[in-house]
Amino acid sequence: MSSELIETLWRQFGVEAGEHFDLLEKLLSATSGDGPEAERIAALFRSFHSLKGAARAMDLFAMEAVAHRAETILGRVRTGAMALTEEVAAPLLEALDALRGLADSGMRDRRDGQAPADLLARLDLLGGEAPATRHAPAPPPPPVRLHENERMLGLFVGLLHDGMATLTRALDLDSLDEEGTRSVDDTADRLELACERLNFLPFADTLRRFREALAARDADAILRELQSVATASARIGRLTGKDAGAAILATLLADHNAQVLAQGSTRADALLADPAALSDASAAAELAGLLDRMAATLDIVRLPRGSALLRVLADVMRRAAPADHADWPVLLADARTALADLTVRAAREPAEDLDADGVDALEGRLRTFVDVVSAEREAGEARRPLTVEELSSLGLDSGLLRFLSPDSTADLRAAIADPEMRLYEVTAFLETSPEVASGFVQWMGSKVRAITNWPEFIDGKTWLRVLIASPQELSALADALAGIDPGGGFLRIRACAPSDPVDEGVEPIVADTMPPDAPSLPVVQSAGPPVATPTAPPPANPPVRPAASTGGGVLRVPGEVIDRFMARIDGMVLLSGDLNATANDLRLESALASLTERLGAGDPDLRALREAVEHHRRDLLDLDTQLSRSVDRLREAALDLRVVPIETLFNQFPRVVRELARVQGKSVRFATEGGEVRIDKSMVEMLYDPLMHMVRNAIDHGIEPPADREAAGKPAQATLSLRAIQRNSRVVVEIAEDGRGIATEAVRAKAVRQGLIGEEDSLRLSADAVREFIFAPGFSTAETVTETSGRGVGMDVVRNAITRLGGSIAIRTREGAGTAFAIDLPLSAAILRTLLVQVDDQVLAIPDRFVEEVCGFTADDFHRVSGCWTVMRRKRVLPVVRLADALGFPAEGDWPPSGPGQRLVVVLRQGSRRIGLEIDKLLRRGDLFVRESHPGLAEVPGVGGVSLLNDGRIVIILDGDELYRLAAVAQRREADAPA
Amino acid sequence: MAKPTILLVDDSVLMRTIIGDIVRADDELSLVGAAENGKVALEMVKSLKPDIVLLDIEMPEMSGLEVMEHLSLMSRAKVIIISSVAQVGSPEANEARALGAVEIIAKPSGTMSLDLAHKKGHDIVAAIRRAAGLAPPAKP
Repeated sequence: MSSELIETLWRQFGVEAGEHFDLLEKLLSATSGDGPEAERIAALFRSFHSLKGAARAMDLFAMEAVAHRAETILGRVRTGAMALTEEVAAPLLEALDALRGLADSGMRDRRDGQAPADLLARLDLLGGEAPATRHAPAPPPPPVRLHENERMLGLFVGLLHDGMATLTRALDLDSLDEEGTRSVDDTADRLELACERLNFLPFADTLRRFREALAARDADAILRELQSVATASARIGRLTGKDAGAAILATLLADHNAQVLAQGSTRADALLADPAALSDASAAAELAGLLDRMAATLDIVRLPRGSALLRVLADVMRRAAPADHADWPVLLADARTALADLTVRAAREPAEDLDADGVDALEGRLRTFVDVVSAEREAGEARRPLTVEELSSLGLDSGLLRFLSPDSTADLRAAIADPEMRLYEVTAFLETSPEVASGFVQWMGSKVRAITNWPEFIDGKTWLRVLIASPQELSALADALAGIDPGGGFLRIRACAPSDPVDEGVEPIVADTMPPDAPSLPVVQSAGPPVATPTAPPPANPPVRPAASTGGGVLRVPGEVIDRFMARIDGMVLLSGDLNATANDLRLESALASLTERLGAGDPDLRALREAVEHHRRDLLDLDTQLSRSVDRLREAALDLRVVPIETLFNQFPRVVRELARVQGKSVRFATEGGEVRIDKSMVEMLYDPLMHMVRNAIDHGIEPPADREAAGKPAQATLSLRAIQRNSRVVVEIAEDGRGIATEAVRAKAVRQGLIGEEDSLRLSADAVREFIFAPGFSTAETVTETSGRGVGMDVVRNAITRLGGSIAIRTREGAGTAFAIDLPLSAAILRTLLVQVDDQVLAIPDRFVEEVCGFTADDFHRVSGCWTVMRRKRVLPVVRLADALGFPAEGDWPPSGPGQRLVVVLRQGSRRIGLEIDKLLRRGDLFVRESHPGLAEVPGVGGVSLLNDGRIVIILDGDELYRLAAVAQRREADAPA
Repeated sequence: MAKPTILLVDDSVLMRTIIGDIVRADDELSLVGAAENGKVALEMVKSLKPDIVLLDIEMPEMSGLEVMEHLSLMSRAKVIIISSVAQVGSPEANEARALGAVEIIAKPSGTMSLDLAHKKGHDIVAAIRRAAGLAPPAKP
């Protein structure tokens, strides 16, 4: 083992053993009343156990022996075989002392020590177990049948419940990017595994099919499988008597379905209302696609008759939309009525299908209509006049149009559609030779198919031009004509080649940009069986959605690549800082100054040198300025890479709002604004839960039932809005409703009832301060637990989540008028502008937005007001505490300040409140890339994250809100202390 | 073939260093992460999807056995228990077995005298290689 590693191990051993010793000391000397006894015993056991393991690893076997005995005793206490009385605790404390000694000597000598034999003997006695004996090995048990294990079932239900929300994201494929898809798939994969492990095999199959559907991005299949998931989890919920999230999923699905149906039928109704407009192919295609989607949804909600009718109707739309057909408007009107009926019935609880009789009759009429119309249509289509473009694409002159009757047009189309047939143009002069004329007419009647003919005047004579179709090659036809007209003066033939773009002088590039599926050739519809076969596949381009402009400009880059990129820029920022430090290094200057002192200022060489040095320094500073400016720009550009419109977040809410409002019998208009504001992609995901919670709160508690609203003189329909406003590098997301507002008095009373504050104290608080209790852990004013809120997850969780994003949340509310929560967030969660200060040796970063300013005060400025030290700032009293005191750091220096010199005070703000923090040293402002902090550190109050400084020192980033709270606590403590 | 990925879960920094060092001695194994408690471990399992989890039993907040219950429902990783509590035949060992632990081995001891060859032949490496279906390590 390398000596470096060995040193590391000893160091870690020392730290860890020390921690255990301190903990054991505390736990052993605590009286049993100090907390849950079982927890204390378990912690004691674990600590001795860990010490034993650590000692063993470090070859400290004497220490291991002592720890092992202590562990054995605690093991017996843990199982209830003995109590942790004073008689037991005393020798354990002795064991602890011995362990400390052995650990110290071990670290000093790097060698095993000697455990006191009498202590070992006494511990053995207490442990009631000779050191050598072990409990007899029991035979290994059979594997647990997992699904019979209630705890496992409970865990599974929890997983299911938690996963459900993620699974439903698949309902909205449009807003599901690659990362989102992966997260949905991951969740489904885990649930599938859990189902397998618990032997819920059909459920596992459902989840597997769901994943396949997700991979294929097959919206219908996803919907179908999610429906099965809802059914399966409802069953598991009933089985276990726990909430497996089935209700949530079922609600969301029902809502999704209802939305598809409602939106679909509104649009379909509008389209059906105008028979003339439906003759437009794109409108008919849109309607057909719409009807198919609705039919798929009706299948899922088990309304088969409605679904079948819509499919027939869709088929009709695809095949025929003859606005001029006499039956057409009547049929459409009937279909419209049926659709309206269906919409009403499907929205009922439970949903109702259409009457069988009515559907059958209408379906029959539609089918017959299609049969008739398609037959007419095929004929009609063929006779439709050709366009100039169609003709020239065939190599024919547009003048020909005049000579194409409907019949000859149909012939021409038939010839074009027949791959065997080719078109030729024959020019004949039939007025000179009767032989040629009769031979030609005979040839025309037997060997080729004439489509049309027209006269042509050439050199004062009337020639006959004939358009013919023949399967034969040009040479064979020319030979036949030569047989009729051996002289070759009267009959000529040429092939009508489809237009050659080069010959026609058309730029080939135009052809390239044409959609390949839009040929100018007439397309003859294939005459499929004229029955209304359901599930005709929707057209390749559903007209519902405009084609996304996926030009060459869009790149998909995994998030981690950008994070790596940001990290590199971070590295550049550090280098730029180094350059600045180098440019400002005054050592060269001072060396020059002392040289000048020795040689005299007049020395010409020295003066030149000084100038050169000064010049060089200025260049460096210039370079530094330019570099940091361009690094700034680079970083801004990089930040842009990570942002998406906040719309992607907002769009996830309308559905939920509508459903919640419906469930609670409230009427809510949902509005969003500022969807174009762009925020960090990672924040979209992190904001979802807090926003969802607040939206639920707003509907549950904020918005009144319509009757109450009207009684209060407000419109029955409430408005709930989500708004985003960008301010420089921050974004404010506001959730506002015009509901009943927060009853400050109710909040105060509840806070008192929950013991968060004393009655008298509470009466002294301002309304703002009272409302802050909304964010207290476990606080909820809801008197009833509704389905969606009041589950114990409160605004404290919301605030924590937002704080983790570097944001803050504020409330505006007026009783009777409504409530607005404003969430203030950085555009990027990764970068934080901070003020760097130093307390003792530790560099701390205070998020810049919490800092109003930094002021200097002299000792005389400090005054004691009602127990607290304060200074006067802008004619207002500012309470000041030492930052070290607030954070519980060991503080040096005098307090309150005395003696000469300035004292630096950071004015910390939170909302409209201010408090001063006295610091030892102000370093600078700096943008820090927040790094994930060690979980242990993250739990320390006041710590928001960590970052690194140029010199590699770790800087602790303080959490602004928490810092404010800690400072306020320190201030109160000071006030309570005797003066 | 990709190297088997391993996640190490132990509340002791010292143990993580020692066991990590032993695992890293084998070039055919890839240690992808180390977690200091059960909750972190479950999160890391979700994101890292390791093939093998080396799991301590005695941990604060969430014991190794509780972690195993969760793991059995959310991960295909094979679990190797590294604990001196779980002696063969002890109730903990039996429960771990029942929950699907593929191996139960003791915490390393006498690490100070380990050289590279010893590390490669270590019980922990041997257990991982068995679980991953690799050939047994060469005995020192």
